[in-house]
Amino acid sequence: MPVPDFSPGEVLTAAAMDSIGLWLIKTDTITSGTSKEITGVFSSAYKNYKIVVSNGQSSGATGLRMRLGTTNTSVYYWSGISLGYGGSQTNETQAGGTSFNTGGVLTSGGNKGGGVIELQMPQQATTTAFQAQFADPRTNGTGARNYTGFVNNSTQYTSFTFLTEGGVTFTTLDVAIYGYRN
Amino acid sequence: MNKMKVIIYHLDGQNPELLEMTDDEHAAYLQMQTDAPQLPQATDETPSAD
Repeated sequence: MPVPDFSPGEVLTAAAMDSIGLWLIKTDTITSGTSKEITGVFSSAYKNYKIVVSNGQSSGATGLRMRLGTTNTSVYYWSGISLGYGGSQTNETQAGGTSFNTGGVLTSGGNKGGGVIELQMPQQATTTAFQAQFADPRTNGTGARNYTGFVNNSTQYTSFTFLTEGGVTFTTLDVAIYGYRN
Repeated sequence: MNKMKVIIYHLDGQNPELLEMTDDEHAAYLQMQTDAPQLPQATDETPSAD
């Protein structure tokens, strides 16, 4: 597969464009509330997706949860490891939860949360897998936060929802969704 | 809904803790960590001989 090598003024060919692997689908910003559905992101155009989260702040410390679509059903299986800045370790797991714990942490402190989430096949009629990696922005929190899991159904999703825990409200959260070209 | 399970491994020799939490309790747990006092900072100073 050739790597695109563009020159100023060059006419882009279909072959060159088709060789691009990662495409921006949508950006959004959450500035209020305890949840927001990001619509129109998953389609038959892509099988796998990357979600980049940055600039995360909330009215108090809370975890960043994710649900595919908006339906509250107990189909989310996930586990994660958090390593504290002081060296302690925390394992978190849930079988049959109503959302993923992405591992993301939002806080009202000066630092801002960020991370990446990878999703495989959310729009196909099979289980969806996810992997997430976040940095905890709290100096007293846990640093490396790595979480994985899957959705135990075959629903073909077109959207996802970000939620906070404990009724904490978003202050700001920037979201960018990319699709991997097959 | 099933609660999430949280296992905490300490560095100071305490036995690991197994906690079960709802989403709301997990947010309170994260807030508790945020409010926790900072651990003493390690230094490179060599203790003086008395």
